[in-house]
Amino acid sequence: MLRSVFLKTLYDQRKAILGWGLGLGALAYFTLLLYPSIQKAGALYDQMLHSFPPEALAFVGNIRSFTTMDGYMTGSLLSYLPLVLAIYAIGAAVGLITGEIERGTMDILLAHPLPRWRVVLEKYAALVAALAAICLIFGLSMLAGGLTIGSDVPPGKWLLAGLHLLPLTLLYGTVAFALACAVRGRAAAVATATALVVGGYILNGLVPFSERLQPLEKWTVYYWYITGRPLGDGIILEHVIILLGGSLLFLLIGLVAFGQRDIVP
Amino acid sequence: MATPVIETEGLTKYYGRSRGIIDVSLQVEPGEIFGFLGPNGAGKTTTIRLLLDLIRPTRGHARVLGLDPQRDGVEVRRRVGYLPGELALYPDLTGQQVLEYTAHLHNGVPRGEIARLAERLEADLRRPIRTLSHGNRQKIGIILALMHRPELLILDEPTMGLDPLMQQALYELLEEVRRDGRTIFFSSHILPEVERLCDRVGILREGRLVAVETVSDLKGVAVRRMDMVFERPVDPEPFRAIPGVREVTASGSTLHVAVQGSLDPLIKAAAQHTVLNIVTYEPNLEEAFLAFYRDNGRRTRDDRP
Repeated sequence: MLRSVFLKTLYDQRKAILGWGLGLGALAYFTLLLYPSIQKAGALYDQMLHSFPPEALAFVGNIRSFTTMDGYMTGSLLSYLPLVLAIYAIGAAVGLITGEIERGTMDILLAHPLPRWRVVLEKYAALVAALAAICLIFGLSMLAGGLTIGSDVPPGKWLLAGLHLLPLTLLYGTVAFALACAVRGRAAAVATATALVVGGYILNGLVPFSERLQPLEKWTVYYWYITGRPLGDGIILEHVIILLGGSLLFLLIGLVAFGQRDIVP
Repeated sequence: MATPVIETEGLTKYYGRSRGIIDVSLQVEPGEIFGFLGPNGAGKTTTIRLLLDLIRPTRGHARVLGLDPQRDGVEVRRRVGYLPGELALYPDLTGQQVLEYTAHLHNGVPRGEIARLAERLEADLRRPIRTLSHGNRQKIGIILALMHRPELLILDEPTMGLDPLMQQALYELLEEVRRDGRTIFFSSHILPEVERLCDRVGILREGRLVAVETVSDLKGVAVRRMDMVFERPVDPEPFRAIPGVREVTASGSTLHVAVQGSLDPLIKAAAQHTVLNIVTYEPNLEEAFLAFYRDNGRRTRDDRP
Protein backbone atom coordinates (compact mmCIF):
# COMPACT_ATOMS: atom_id res chain seq x y z
CA MET A 1 0.00 0.00 0.00
CA LEU A 2 2.96 2.30 0.50
CA ARG A 3 4.50 2.01 -2.93
CA SER A 4 3.99 5.58 -4.07
CA VAL A 5 2.91 8.99 -2.86
CA PHE A 6 -0.47 8.36 -4.49
CA LEU A 7 -1.08 5.07 -2.71
CA LYS A 8 0.29 6.32 0.60
CA THR A 9 -2.00 9.35 0.46
CA LEU A 10 -5.01 7.22 -0.40
CA TYR A 11 -4.07 4.82 2.40
CA ASP A 12 -4.02 7.75 4.83
CA GLN A 13 -7.52 8.74 3.69
CA ARG A 14 -9.04 5.28 4.07
CA LYS A 15 -10.89 5.98 7.30
CA ALA A 16 -12.14 9.34 6.09
CA ILE A 17 -13.39 7.80 2.84
CA LEU A 18 -15.35 5.15 4.70
CA GLY A 19 -16.60 7.56 7.35
CA TRP A 20 -17.80 10.20 4.92
CA GLY A 21 -19.08 7.72 2.37
CA LEU A 22 -21.07 5.68 4.87
CA GLY A 23 -22.16 8.72 6.88
CA LEU A 24 -23.58 10.58 3.91
CA GLY A 25 -24.77 7.27 2.47
CA ALA A 26 -26.81 6.54 5.61
CA LEU A 27 -28.33 10.00 5.36
CA ALA A 28 -29.34 9.29 1.76
CA TYR A 29 -30.65 5.82 2.62
CA PHE A 30 -32.92 7.03 5.42
CA THR A 31 -34.03 10.03 3.43
CA LEU A 32 -35.16 7.62 0.72
CA LEU A 33 -37.01 5.44 3.24
CA LEU A 34 -39.24 8.43 3.99
CA TYR A 35 -40.06 9.00 0.35
CA PRO A 36 -43.12 6.70 0.07
CA SER A 37 -44.93 8.40 2.96
CA ILE A 38 -44.04 11.86 1.65
CA GLN A 39 -45.28 10.87 -1.75
CA LYS A 40 -48.56 9.76 -0.24
CA ALA A 41 -49.01 13.07 1.53
CA GLY A 42 -47.62 14.77 -1.58
CA ALA A 43 -50.27 17.40 -2.09
CA LEU A 44 -49.72 18.74 1.40
CA TYR A 45 -45.97 19.15 0.91
CA ASP A 46 -46.39 20.71 -2.49
CA GLN A 47 -48.88 23.17 -1.02
CA MET A 48 -46.29 24.13 1.57
CA LEU A 49 -43.66 24.40 -1.14
CA HIS A 50 -45.82 26.73 -3.18
CA SER A 51 -46.58 28.93 -0.20
CA PHE A 52 -42.93 30.07 -0.33
CA PRO A 53 -42.13 32.98 -2.63
CA PRO A 54 -40.96 31.33 -5.86
CA GLU A 55 -37.69 33.24 -5.75
CA ALA A 56 -36.76 31.53 -2.50
CA LEU A 57 -36.85 28.11 -4.11
CA ALA A 58 -33.43 28.65 -5.62
CA PHE A 59 -32.05 27.65 -2.21
CA VAL A 60 -33.47 24.16 -2.69
CA GLY A 61 -32.57 23.82 -6.33
CA ASN A 62 -35.71 25.44 -7.78
CA ILE A 63 -37.70 22.27 -7.34
CA ARG A 64 -41.33 22.46 -8.35
CA SER A 65 -42.61 19.42 -6.57
CA PHE A 66 -41.76 17.20 -3.63
CA THR A 67 -43.52 14.22 -5.09
CA THR A 68 -41.09 13.44 -7.88
CA MET A 69 -37.92 11.60 -6.92
CA ASP A 70 -35.82 14.40 -8.40
CA GLY A 71 -37.73 17.10 -6.54
CA TYR A 72 -37.71 15.20 -3.29
CA MET A 73 -34.04 14.19 -3.31
CA THR A 74 -32.81 17.54 -4.61
CA GLY A 75 -34.90 19.53 -2.17
CA SER A 76 -34.10 17.46 0.87
CA LEU A 77 -30.50 16.42 0.20
CA LEU A 78 -28.73 16.96 -3.08
CA SER A 79 -29.10 20.74 -3.15
CA TYR A 80 -26.96 21.26 -0.08
CA LEU A 81 -24.92 18.05 0.07
CA PRO A 82 -21.94 19.50 -1.81
CA LEU A 83 -21.63 22.06 0.96
CA VAL A 84 -21.31 19.27 3.49
CA LEU A 85 -18.90 17.23 1.42
CA ALA A 86 -16.89 20.41 0.83
CA ILE A 87 -15.88 20.22 4.49
CA TYR A 88 -14.06 17.00 3.72
CA ALA A 89 -12.73 18.16 0.37
CA ILE A 90 -11.24 21.38 1.74
CA GLY A 91 -9.91 19.81 4.91
CA ALA A 92 -8.29 16.94 3.07
CA ALA A 93 -6.87 19.16 0.32
CA VAL A 94 -5.22 21.52 2.77
CA GLY A 95 -4.05 18.65 4.94
CA LEU A 96 -2.33 16.93 2.03
CA ILE A 97 -0.05 19.90 1.43
CA THR A 98 -0.03 22.25 4.41
CA GLY A 99 -0.50 19.43 6.91
CA GLU A 100 2.50 17.60 5.53
CA ILE A 101 4.60 20.76 5.54
CA GLU A 102 3.59 21.75 9.05
CA ARG A 103 4.22 18.25 10.39
CA GLY A 104 7.65 18.40 8.85
CA THR A 105 7.25 15.22 6.81
CA MET A 106 7.30 17.19 3.55
CA ASP A 107 11.05 17.59 4.18
CA ILE A 108 11.53 13.86 4.07
CA LEU A 109 9.30 13.50 1.03
CA LEU A 110 11.02 16.23 -0.98
CA ALA A 111 14.47 15.02 0.00
CA HIS A 112 13.77 12.00 -2.20
CA PRO A 113 14.38 11.87 -5.93
CA LEU A 114 10.92 13.06 -6.93
CA PRO A 115 10.23 16.28 -8.76
CA ARG A 116 7.90 18.54 -6.86
CA TRP A 117 5.28 18.48 -9.60
CA ARG A 118 5.06 14.75 -9.20
CA VAL A 119 4.43 14.99 -5.47
CA VAL A 120 1.66 17.51 -6.14
CA LEU A 121 0.10 15.43 -8.93
CA GLU A 122 0.15 12.20 -6.97
CA LYS A 123 -1.40 13.84 -3.94
CA TYR A 124 -4.02 15.48 -6.11
CA ALA A 125 -4.81 12.20 -7.83
CA ALA A 126 -5.34 10.68 -4.39
CA LEU A 127 -7.71 13.51 -3.49
CA VAL A 128 -9.71 12.90 -6.67
CA ALA A 129 -9.81 9.17 -5.98
CA ALA A 130 -10.88 9.69 -2.36
CA LEU A 131 -13.68 12.08 -3.31
CA ALA A 132 -14.80 9.81 -6.13
CA ALA A 133 -14.89 6.88 -3.72
CA ILE A 134 -17.06 8.83 -1.26
CA CYS A 135 -19.42 9.84 -4.07
CA LEU A 136 -19.58 6.25 -5.26
CA ILE A 137 -20.41 4.94 -1.78
CA PHE A 138 -23.05 7.66 -1.58
CA GLY A 139 -24.48 6.58 -4.94
CA LEU A 140 -24.50 2.94 -3.87
CA SER A 141 -26.33 3.88 -0.67
CA MET A 142 -28.98 5.68 -2.72
CA LEU A 143 -29.24 2.62 -4.92
CA ALA A 144 -29.77 0.48 -1.80
CA GLY A 145 -32.40 2.92 -0.58
CA GLY A 146 -34.07 2.93 -3.98
CA LEU A 147 -34.23 -0.86 -4.03
CA THR A 148 -35.59 -0.95 -0.47
CA ILE A 149 -38.54 1.28 -1.30
CA GLY A 150 -39.03 -0.35 -4.69
CA SER A 151 -38.31 2.81 -6.65
CA ASP A 152 -38.41 2.61 -10.43
CA VAL A 153 -35.28 4.80 -10.83
CA PRO A 154 -32.76 2.67 -12.77
CA PRO A 155 -29.58 1.72 -10.83
CA GLY A 156 -27.29 3.69 -13.14
CA LYS A 157 -29.10 6.92 -12.30
CA TRP A 158 -28.45 6.50 -8.58
CA LEU A 159 -24.77 6.02 -9.20
CA LEU A 160 -24.76 8.96 -11.59
CA ALA A 161 -26.43 11.10 -8.94
CA GLY A 162 -23.67 10.12 -6.52
CA LEU A 163 -20.87 10.86 -8.96
CA HIS A 164 -22.54 14.09 -10.02
CA LEU A 165 -21.44 15.51 -6.66
CA LEU A 166 -17.83 15.04 -7.66
CA PRO A 167 -17.14 17.88 -10.12
CA LEU A 168 -18.38 20.62 -7.78
CA THR A 169 -16.86 19.28 -4.57
CA LEU A 170 -13.65 18.58 -6.42
CA LEU A 171 -13.53 22.19 -7.57
CA TYR A 172 -14.03 23.36 -3.97
CA GLY A 173 -11.24 21.03 -2.91
CA THR A 174 -8.99 22.06 -5.76
CA VAL A 175 -9.27 25.76 -4.92
CA ALA A 176 -8.17 24.93 -1.38
CA PHE A 177 -5.45 22.62 -2.72
CA ALA A 178 -4.04 25.26 -5.06
CA LEU A 179 -3.91 27.86 -2.32
CA ALA A 180 -2.31 25.38 0.06
CA CYS A 181 0.33 24.79 -2.62
CA ALA A 182 0.91 28.51 -3.00
CA VAL A 183 0.58 30.08 0.43
CA ARG A 184 2.07 29.20 3.78
CA GLY A 185 -0.37 28.26 6.53
CA ARG A 186 -3.93 27.03 6.37
CA ALA A 187 -5.88 30.23 6.83
CA ALA A 188 -5.80 31.60 3.28
CA ALA A 189 -6.69 28.28 1.66
CA VAL A 190 -9.49 27.36 4.04
CA ALA A 191 -10.98 30.86 4.13
CA THR A 192 -10.99 31.36 0.36
CA ALA A 193 -12.44 27.95 -0.42
CA THR A 194 -15.06 28.25 2.32
CA ALA A 195 -16.06 31.69 1.03
CA LEU A 196 -16.53 30.17 -2.40
CA VAL A 197 -18.67 27.35 -1.01
CA VAL A 198 -20.90 29.36 1.31
CA GLY A 199 -20.84 32.63 -0.62
CA GLY A 200 -21.56 30.87 -3.90
CA TYR A 201 -24.52 29.01 -2.46
CA ILE A 202 -26.05 32.07 -0.84
CA LEU A 203 -25.44 34.23 -3.89
CA ASN A 204 -27.02 31.61 -6.10
CA GLY A 205 -30.08 31.68 -3.84
CA LEU A 206 -30.29 35.48 -3.98
CA VAL A 207 -29.98 35.82 -7.74
CA PRO A 208 -33.76 35.43 -8.40
CA PHE A 209 -34.45 38.34 -6.04
CA SER A 210 -32.47 40.90 -8.00
CA GLU A 211 -31.81 41.52 -11.66
CA ARG A 212 -28.53 43.12 -10.76
CA LEU A 213 -27.16 39.89 -9.34
CA GLN A 214 -27.93 38.02 -12.53
CA PRO A 215 -24.45 38.43 -14.12
CA LEU A 216 -22.89 36.87 -11.02
CA GLU A 217 -24.94 33.70 -11.23
CA LYS A 218 -22.43 31.75 -13.25
CA TRP A 219 -19.54 32.79 -11.03
CA THR A 220 -21.17 31.20 -8.02
CA VAL A 221 -19.81 27.90 -9.35
CA TYR A 222 -22.72 26.21 -7.58
CA TYR A 223 -24.89 27.14 -10.59
CA TRP A 224 -23.04 24.66 -12.78
CA TYR A 225 -23.92 21.90 -10.37
CA ILE A 226 -27.54 22.55 -9.48
CA THR A 227 -28.59 22.95 -13.11
CA GLY A 228 -27.81 19.27 -13.68
CA ARG A 229 -30.50 16.82 -12.55
CA PRO A 230 -29.26 13.23 -12.61
CA LEU A 231 -32.57 11.96 -11.15
CA GLY A 232 -34.69 14.22 -13.35
CA ASP A 233 -33.93 15.73 -16.73
CA GLY A 234 -30.40 14.44 -16.60
CA ILE A 235 -27.01 16.01 -16.11
CA ILE A 236 -25.68 18.71 -18.41
CA LEU A 237 -22.35 17.57 -19.77
CA GLU A 238 -21.15 21.08 -20.66
CA HIS A 239 -21.67 22.17 -17.06
CA VAL A 240 -19.77 19.19 -15.75
CA ILE A 241 -16.95 20.01 -18.14
CA ILE A 242 -16.89 23.62 -16.99
CA LEU A 243 -16.54 22.49 -13.37
CA LEU A 244 -13.80 20.01 -14.25
CA GLY A 245 -12.07 22.67 -16.34
CA GLY A 246 -12.10 24.97 -13.32
CA SER A 247 -10.42 22.27 -11.26
CA LEU A 248 -7.81 21.76 -13.95
CA LEU A 249 -7.06 25.47 -13.97
CA PHE A 250 -6.57 25.59 -10.21
CA LEU A 251 -4.51 22.41 -10.29
CA LEU A 252 -2.14 24.07 -12.77
CA ILE A 253 -1.89 27.13 -10.53
CA GLY A 254 -1.06 24.84 -7.61
CA LEU A 255 1.57 22.96 -9.60
CA VAL A 256 3.35 26.12 -10.68
CA ALA A 257 3.13 27.75 -7.26
CA PHE A 258 4.40 24.69 -5.40
CA GLY A 259 7.32 24.36 -7.76
CA GLN A 260 8.49 27.83 -6.87
CA ARG A 261 7.85 28.16 -3.21
CA ASP A 262 10.08 27.69 -0.19
CA ILE A 263 9.18 24.76 1.98
CA VAL A 264 9.21 26.26 5.45
CA PRO A 265 7.41 24.45 8.27
CA MET B 1 41.55 18.73 -8.48
CA ALA B 2 38.34 16.80 -8.14
CA THR B 3 35.04 18.65 -8.35
CA PRO B 4 33.97 19.72 -4.88
CA VAL B 5 31.04 17.73 -3.54
CA ILE B 6 29.47 20.89 -2.21
CA GLU B 7 30.29 24.32 -3.50
CA THR B 8 28.49 27.50 -2.61
CA GLU B 9 29.23 30.99 -3.82
CA GLY B 10 27.80 34.04 -2.16
CA LEU B 11 24.86 31.94 -1.07
CA THR B 12 22.35 34.24 0.54
CA LYS B 13 18.87 33.65 1.86
CA TYR B 14 16.44 36.09 3.37
CA TYR B 15 13.01 35.06 4.61
CA GLY B 16 11.18 38.23 3.80
CA ARG B 17 13.26 40.66 5.78
CA SER B 18 14.68 38.29 8.30
CA ARG B 19 18.15 36.97 7.76
CA GLY B 20 18.82 33.36 6.89
CA ILE B 21 22.40 33.31 5.64
CA ILE B 22 24.52 35.95 3.96
CA ASP B 23 27.25 35.39 1.38
CA VAL B 24 28.20 31.90 2.39
CA SER B 25 30.97 30.56 0.15
CA LEU B 26 32.42 27.20 0.96
CA GLN B 27 33.72 24.04 -0.62
CA VAL B 28 33.50 20.51 0.65
CA GLU B 29 35.95 18.11 -0.96
CA PRO B 30 35.19 14.50 -1.88
CA GLY B 31 35.75 12.07 0.96
CA GLU B 32 35.96 14.53 3.79
CA ILE B 33 33.82 14.98 6.85
CA PHE B 34 32.93 18.61 7.05
CA GLY B 35 31.49 19.94 10.28
CA PHE B 36 29.20 22.88 10.21
CA LEU B 37 29.28 24.67 13.52
CA GLY B 38 27.32 27.46 15.01
CA PRO B 39 24.79 28.24 17.66
CA ASN B 40 21.09 27.81 17.05
CA GLY B 41 19.76 30.37 14.63
CA ALA B 42 23.12 30.92 12.94
CA GLY B 43 21.81 29.59 9.63
CA LYS B 44 23.04 26.01 9.54
CA THR B 45 19.65 24.57 8.73
CA THR B 46 19.00 27.28 6.15
CA THR B 47 22.20 26.34 4.35
CA ILE B 48 21.30 22.67 4.37
CA ARG B 49 17.79 23.34 3.10
CA LEU B 50 19.23 25.39 0.26
CA LEU B 51 21.51 22.51 -0.73
CA LEU B 52 18.49 20.19 -0.95
CA ASP B 53 16.36 22.72 -2.85
CA LEU B 54 13.74 22.80 -0.11
CA ILE B 55 14.18 26.57 -0.22
CA ARG B 56 15.59 28.84 -2.93
CA PRO B 57 18.44 31.29 -2.57
CA THR B 58 17.86 35.03 -2.59
CA ARG B 59 21.30 35.47 -4.16
CA GLY B 60 24.29 33.36 -5.02
CA HIS B 61 24.27 29.73 -5.96
CA ALA B 62 25.10 26.27 -4.79
CA ARG B 63 26.33 23.16 -6.53
CA VAL B 64 25.98 19.71 -5.07
CA LEU B 65 27.91 16.83 -6.67
CA GLY B 66 28.62 19.26 -9.48
CA LEU B 67 24.91 19.79 -10.12
CA ASP B 68 22.53 22.67 -9.62
CA PRO B 69 20.08 21.61 -6.87
CA GLN B 70 17.34 23.71 -8.41
CA ARG B 71 17.65 22.41 -11.96
CA ASP B 72 18.86 18.88 -11.32
CA GLY B 73 17.22 18.38 -7.96
CA VAL B 74 16.03 14.87 -8.69
CA GLU B 75 19.52 13.68 -9.61
CA VAL B 76 21.05 15.46 -6.62
CA ARG B 77 18.58 13.93 -4.21
CA ARG B 78 19.08 10.48 -5.70
CA ARG B 79 22.71 10.67 -4.61
CA VAL B 80 22.33 12.48 -1.31
CA GLY B 81 21.13 11.18 2.04
CA TYR B 82 19.51 13.67 4.36
CA LEU B 83 18.66 13.70 8.02
CA PRO B 84 16.64 16.78 8.97
CA GLY B 85 17.34 18.59 12.22
CA GLU B 86 13.78 18.33 13.39
CA LEU B 87 13.02 14.90 12.11
CA ALA B 88 9.34 14.26 11.49
CA LEU B 89 8.07 10.86 10.41
CA TYR B 90 4.58 9.56 9.82
CA PRO B 91 3.38 8.83 13.35
CA ASP B 92 0.92 6.08 12.47
CA LEU B 93 3.33 4.02 10.40
CA THR B 94 5.85 1.63 11.86
CA GLY B 95 9.54 2.21 11.26
CA GLN B 96 9.46 -0.64 8.76
CA GLN B 97 6.59 0.97 6.84
CA VAL B 98 8.28 4.37 6.77
CA LEU B 99 11.44 2.80 5.41
CA GLU B 100 9.55 0.71 2.86
CA TYR B 101 7.74 3.79 1.65
CA THR B 102 10.85 5.92 1.33
CA ALA B 103 12.75 3.01 -0.26
CA HIS B 104 10.05 2.96 -2.94
CA LEU B 105 10.53 6.68 -3.45
CA HIS B 106 14.17 5.83 -4.18
CA ASN B 107 13.04 3.13 -6.60
CA GLY B 108 14.44 0.57 -4.24
CA VAL B 109 17.54 0.35 -2.06
CA PRO B 110 20.29 -2.27 -1.90
CA ARG B 111 19.00 -5.54 -0.54
CA GLY B 112 19.47 -6.10 3.16
CA GLU B 113 20.72 -2.57 3.77
CA ILE B 114 17.79 -1.60 5.98
CA ALA B 115 18.14 -4.73 8.09
CA ARG B 116 21.92 -4.25 8.39
CA LEU B 117 21.59 -0.64 9.53
CA ALA B 118 18.74 -1.45 11.89
CA GLU B 119 20.87 -4.09 13.52
CA ARG B 120 23.85 -1.76 13.85
CA LEU B 121 21.74 0.92 15.49
CA GLU B 122 19.52 -1.50 17.40
CA ALA B 123 16.49 0.17 15.89
CA ASP B 124 13.04 -1.24 16.53
CA LEU B 125 11.24 -1.19 13.20
CA ARG B 126 8.06 -2.90 14.28
CA ARG B 127 6.59 -0.22 16.50
CA PRO B 128 4.59 2.76 15.23
CA ILE B 129 6.67 5.93 15.11
CA ARG B 130 4.19 7.53 17.52
CA THR B 131 5.28 5.17 20.29
CA LEU B 132 9.02 5.66 19.85
CA SER B 133 11.25 7.86 21.98
CA HIS B 134 13.05 10.73 20.30
CA GLY B 135 16.28 8.76 20.16
CA ASN B 136 14.60 5.75 18.60
CA ARG B 137 12.96 7.92 15.98
CA GLN B 138 16.34 9.45 15.24
CA LYS B 139 17.63 5.95 14.50
CA ILE B 140 14.92 5.49 11.87
CA GLY B 141 15.93 8.84 10.42
CA ILE B 142 19.56 7.78 10.23
CA ILE B 143 18.65 4.55 8.44
CA LEU B 144 16.50 6.59 6.08
CA ALA B 145 19.44 8.83 5.24
CA LEU B 146 21.90 5.96 4.74
CA MET B 147 19.91 3.11 3.23
CA HIS B 148 20.39 4.03 -0.43
CA ARG B 149 24.15 4.32 0.07
CA PRO B 150 24.39 8.00 -0.92
CA GLU B 151 27.60 9.60 -2.13
CA LEU B 152 26.97 12.55 0.11
CA LEU B 153 25.38 12.54 3.53
CA ILE B 154 23.88 15.74 4.83
CA LEU B 155 23.05 15.44 8.49
CA ASP B 156 21.50 18.19 10.57
CA GLU B 157 22.45 17.62 14.20
CA PRO B 158 22.52 13.83 13.82
CA THR B 159 23.35 12.87 17.39
CA MET B 160 20.63 14.94 18.97
CA GLY B 161 18.68 12.79 21.39
CA LEU B 162 20.90 9.72 21.07
CA ASP B 163 22.33 8.18 24.19
CA PRO B 164 26.13 8.07 24.38
CA LEU B 165 26.29 4.43 23.29
CA MET B 166 24.25 5.14 20.19
CA GLN B 167 26.29 8.23 19.49
CA GLN B 168 29.34 5.98 19.38
CA ALA B 169 27.55 3.58 17.06
CA LEU B 170 26.69 6.48 14.77
CA TYR B 171 30.27 7.80 14.82
CA GLU B 172 31.47 4.36 13.76
CA LEU B 173 28.93 4.26 10.96
CA LEU B 174 30.02 7.67 9.76
CA GLU B 175 33.67 6.70 9.88
CA GLU B 176 32.78 3.69 7.74
CA VAL B 177 31.07 5.95 5.26
CA ARG B 178 34.22 8.02 5.02
CA ARG B 179 36.38 4.94 4.55
CA ASP B 180 34.18 4.16 1.53
CA GLY B 181 35.32 7.47 0.11
CA ARG B 182 31.94 9.06 0.56
CA THR B 183 31.46 12.57 1.88
CA ILE B 184 29.68 13.81 4.99
CA PHE B 185 28.45 17.29 5.71
CA PHE B 186 26.98 17.65 9.13
CA SER B 187 25.96 20.40 11.44
CA SER B 188 26.50 20.25 15.11
CA HIS B 189 26.99 22.24 18.21
CA ILE B 190 28.51 19.36 20.10
CA LEU B 191 32.21 20.11 19.99
CA PRO B 192 33.78 16.83 21.04
CA GLU B 193 32.00 15.05 18.20
CA VAL B 194 33.26 17.63 15.74
CA GLU B 195 36.78 17.21 17.09
CA ARG B 196 36.51 13.49 16.79
CA LEU B 197 34.97 13.19 13.36
CA CYS B 198 35.71 16.18 11.25
CA ASP B 199 38.54 16.98 8.91
CA ARG B 200 37.47 20.56 8.54
CA VAL B 201 34.89 22.78 10.10
CA GLY B 202 33.05 25.85 8.96
CA ILE B 203 31.87 28.22 11.61
CA LEU B 204 28.68 30.09 11.02
CA ARG B 205 27.76 33.11 13.02
CA GLU B 206 24.69 35.22 12.52
CA GLY B 207 24.30 33.95 9.00
CA ARG B 208 27.88 34.49 7.90
CA LEU B 209 30.60 31.95 7.48
CA VAL B 210 33.28 33.40 9.71
CA ALA B 211 35.90 30.71 9.35
CA VAL B 212 36.72 27.49 7.61
CA GLU B 213 39.55 25.68 9.32
CA THR B 214 40.98 22.26 9.65
CA VAL B 215 40.27 20.87 13.06
CA SER B 216 43.97 20.86 13.88
CA ASP B 217 44.29 24.54 12.94
CA LEU B 218 41.31 25.35 15.05
CA LYS B 219 42.95 23.63 17.95
CA GLY B 220 46.01 25.81 17.20
CA VAL B 221 44.08 28.98 17.76
CA ALA B 222 42.35 27.47 20.72
CA VAL B 223 42.94 29.11 24.02
CA ARG B 224 44.84 26.76 26.31
CA ARG B 225 44.46 27.13 30.01
CA MET B 226 47.21 26.22 32.41
CA ASP B 227 48.11 26.54 36.07
CA MET B 228 51.78 27.19 36.89
CA VAL B 229 52.80 26.46 40.42
CA PHE B 230 55.96 28.27 41.54
CA GLU B 231 58.10 27.86 44.59
CA ARG B 232 57.09 31.30 45.79
CA PRO B 233 54.60 33.94 44.58
CA VAL B 234 55.65 35.70 41.36
CA ASP B 235 54.69 39.01 39.85
CA PRO B 236 52.01 38.34 37.18
CA GLU B 237 52.67 41.62 35.38
CA PRO B 238 55.57 40.53 33.09
CA PHE B 239 53.54 37.49 32.04
CA ARG B 240 50.74 39.68 30.77
CA ALA B 241 53.11 41.19 28.21
CA ILE B 242 54.02 37.83 26.66
CA PRO B 243 52.64 37.39 23.12
CA GLY B 244 49.63 35.09 23.02
CA VAL B 245 48.86 35.37 26.70
CA ARG B 246 45.26 36.36 27.12
CA GLU B 247 44.70 36.28 30.80
CA VAL B 248 46.79 35.99 33.96
CA THR B 249 45.52 35.75 37.51
CA ALA B 250 47.59 35.00 40.55
CA SER B 251 46.53 33.10 43.63
CA GLY B 252 49.22 32.41 46.16
CA SER B 253 52.20 31.00 44.35
CA THR B 254 50.09 29.81 41.44
CA LEU B 255 49.45 31.66 38.17
CA HIS B 256 46.37 30.78 36.13
CA VAL B 257 47.17 31.58 32.53
CA ALA B 258 45.15 31.48 29.32
CA VAL B 259 47.35 31.38 26.26
CA GLN B 260 46.64 31.18 22.58
CA GLY B 261 49.06 29.62 20.13
CA SER B 262 52.65 28.76 20.95
CA LEU B 263 53.56 28.08 24.55
CA ASP B 264 57.26 28.70 24.04
CA PRO B 265 57.57 32.36 25.16
CA LEU B 266 55.48 31.64 28.23
CA ILE B 267 57.52 28.59 29.22
CA LYS B 268 60.76 30.52 28.76
CA ALA B 269 59.49 33.32 30.99
CA ALA B 270 58.32 30.85 33.61
CA ALA B 271 61.74 29.15 33.58
CA GLN B 272 63.27 32.25 35.14
CA HIS B 273 61.54 31.19 38.35
CA THR B 274 61.53 27.88 40.12
CA VAL B 275 58.62 25.93 38.71
CA LEU B 276 57.11 23.18 40.85
CA ASN B 277 54.36 22.06 38.56
CA ILE B 278 52.48 22.93 35.37
CA VAL B 279 48.96 21.68 34.84
CA THR B 280 47.54 22.16 31.35
CA TYR B 281 43.97 21.66 30.29
CA GLU B 282 43.21 20.18 26.89
CA PRO B 283 42.08 23.02 24.65
CA ASN B 284 38.59 22.58 23.41
CA LEU B 285 36.88 23.88 20.36
CA GLU B 286 34.37 25.70 22.44
CA GLU B 287 37.08 28.13 23.43
CA ALA B 288 38.40 28.33 19.90
CA PHE B 289 34.88 29.01 18.88
CA LEU B 290 34.55 31.79 21.39
CA ALA B 291 37.87 33.21 20.28
CA PHE B 292 36.46 33.59 16.80
CA TYR B 293 33.44 35.28 18.22
CA ARG B 294 35.45 37.70 20.29
CA ASP B 295 37.22 38.84 17.15
CA ASN B 296 33.84 39.77 15.74
CA GLY B 297 34.28 37.35 12.91
CA ARG B 298 36.94 39.41 11.18
CA ARG B 299 40.05 37.39 11.63
CA THR B 300 42.96 38.08 9.34
CA ARG B 301 45.86 35.83 8.43
CA ASP B 302 48.15 37.94 10.65
CA ASP B 303 46.32 36.89 13.73
CA ARG B 304 47.34 33.36 13.15
CA PRO B 305 49.75 32.01 15.66
